[in-house]
Amino acid sequence: MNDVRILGLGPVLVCGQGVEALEQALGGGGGLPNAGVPTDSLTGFLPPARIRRIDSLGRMALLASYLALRDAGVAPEEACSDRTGIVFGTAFGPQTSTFAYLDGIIDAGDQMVSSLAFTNSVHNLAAAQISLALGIIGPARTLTTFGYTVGGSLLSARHWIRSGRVDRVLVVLGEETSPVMTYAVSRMGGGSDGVRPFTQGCSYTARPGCIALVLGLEAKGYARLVDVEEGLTAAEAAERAGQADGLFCADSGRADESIAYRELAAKSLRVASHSPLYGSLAISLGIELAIAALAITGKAAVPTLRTAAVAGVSGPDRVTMISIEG
Amino acid sequence: MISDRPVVTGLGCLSAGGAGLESAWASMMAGVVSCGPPSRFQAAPARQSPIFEVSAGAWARSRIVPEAELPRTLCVEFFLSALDEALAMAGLRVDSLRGRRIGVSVGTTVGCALNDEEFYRAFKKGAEPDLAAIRRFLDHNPAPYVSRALDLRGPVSTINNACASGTDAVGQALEWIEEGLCEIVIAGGTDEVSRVPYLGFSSLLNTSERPCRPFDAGRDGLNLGEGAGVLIIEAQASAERRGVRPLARLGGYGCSADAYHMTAPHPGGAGLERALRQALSGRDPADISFVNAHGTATVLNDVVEGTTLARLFGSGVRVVGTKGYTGHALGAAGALEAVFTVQGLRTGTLPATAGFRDADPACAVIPTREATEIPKTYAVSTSLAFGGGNAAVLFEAME
Repeated sequence: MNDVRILGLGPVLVCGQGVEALEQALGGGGGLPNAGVPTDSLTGFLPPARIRRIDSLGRMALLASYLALRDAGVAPEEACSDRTGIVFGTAFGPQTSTFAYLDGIIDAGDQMVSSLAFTNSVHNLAAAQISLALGIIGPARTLTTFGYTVGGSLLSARHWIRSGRVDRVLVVLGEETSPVMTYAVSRMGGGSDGVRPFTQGCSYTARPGCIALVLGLEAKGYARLVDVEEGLTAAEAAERAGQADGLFCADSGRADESIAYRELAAKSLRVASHSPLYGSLAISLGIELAIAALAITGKAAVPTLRTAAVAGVSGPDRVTMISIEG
Repeated sequence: MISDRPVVTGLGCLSAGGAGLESAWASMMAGVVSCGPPSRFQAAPARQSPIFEVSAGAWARSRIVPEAELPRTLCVEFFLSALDEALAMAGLRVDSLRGRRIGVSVGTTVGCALNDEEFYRAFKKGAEPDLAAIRRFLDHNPAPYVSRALDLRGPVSTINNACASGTDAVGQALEWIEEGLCEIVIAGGTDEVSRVPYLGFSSLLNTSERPCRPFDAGRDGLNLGEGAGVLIIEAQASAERRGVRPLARLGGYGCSADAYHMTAPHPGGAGLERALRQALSGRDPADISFVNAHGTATVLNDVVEGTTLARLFGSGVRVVGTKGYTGHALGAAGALEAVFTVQGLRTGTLPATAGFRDADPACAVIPTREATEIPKTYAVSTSLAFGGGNAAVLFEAME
């Protein structure tokens, strides 16, 4: 079986953009910024005229993609091919555009609906923006499966690479926040004072963010993707976690989630969750995977590991487990 | 890397064309078209278009989920109803599935969108609305809902590739079987029409005020539809072990991005051709029995699709479009059309393309004008999507 590896990372998070910024955030131990994610630096990759009509989720996704490709040493013109695939994963989709479209219906009436707002509210438009900007004409897929989004995205990418369909896949995972989300989180017991993983009670603190990973077969990069398993019981996941040098938990601070992660962590020697740095996102499994990959290469301010397990609770007694090694 | 060959062992469908495959197929073969103004909501867009609604009372709610836990979205209800039929056809009892490594791959658009208009109106007014709409959204993402309801342990994925979602969900099932991730996949698509997509498509000026006319010279747009299509995709070895005779082989899948335009297809159909060639997996285009085309009845789609099909398969290729019976069911469209494609191969027949009358030379193909007998070789179902997505799945008749 061909070994699929993580070749590049493109974090676009409230704690920083790019691998160096993420490394610094991991080492700095600062609190959770109460801010959005600026995407101004996208102008370093695309002319402003091309960016103007791209919605905010699309901008984050594009910036993350460019950063990940650069980190992987892949020039944009090299990615511009049918040998590159795109998987975009998002649980909530383009919230800004979705509510802008609804604003149009409510404020302007049925006959004055904006076609651009409607188009931008379609979940796969971020993948389309990446395809259009980078000229990628290989397979493209958008997954919206809440706790299963990250695992499913990696399974798609791995299949396309292993089957020879493509040479590399850009896996891009992103979420936005919105006033509606802030309201719902508040009513559900979450807050704005930071995520407290592995603790009782709800500390869900929503933040926007995006992480892109370049996967491919080259014998370089951060780590080998050993396995992606969905639908594990907590006991099965704990057993997998116990076999790895370190366990990274995508704990976004939901009460039910934190309890499950404590059970998972019981058999592990080194356990970590970094959501206090980047906030609560439904795709945080992808962010923890990126941090685990940094730890494998000794680039993160956590002990260098040979193997790592990355866990995401996807439902009651259902865990997605990603295993990587150096 | 191929672990096993996927076959189709069960089919289920629900649309304006009928509840249940036999009913829908008989209705389509008889040329029955059933569309009209929306009955569940009111809307006043600049251009009123009929829709293909699933009639209330014309379908049976699923018994998979206990009464007290019945789903509260039509998307999930439609899917479960079609799933009942598909599982029965596959000879799979619900209680035999629990705890097993069975995948769920569902395409949808509306089914995973956080766009409850009533809730948002109240929120905008500062009324601090109840979170029922949010909880419904969180609990009813189709694939996790089905996996949880059946207590399954395999991979779970909801694909939102816009209008190609259902086709991609079937294709993903092929990938999972080939990877050996599971031996059975519940695959398909589901969607419901509401004001949100109805007004959105109207704003794009691509809906028709008449019943849609795929590939017709006078076509002027699509009609929205709704429903669900479900296919039980199974490793051949699993079907053999269970003693189940497959309905067809799922022989190929391709998808590609155009990188051309957000809402218009690549004018040369290059992306669609790449997806088709991948789905063909080296098969001789001359052996094809038919193509179940995306055939939205929009001016651009049908020209791009028709000319691409003619270039690849020849201008005489047999083409059918079924949106004249179902409307454009968005995330369900590809799944419904995959179900109809398998049914065509099983029965050796195709319905007339409802709405088609006058050939358009620009489309380069002429779809079926009447119910037709066909050879049982292989057939392809295609989808094109917002954002420049293209997808195709290929089914082979069983000997």
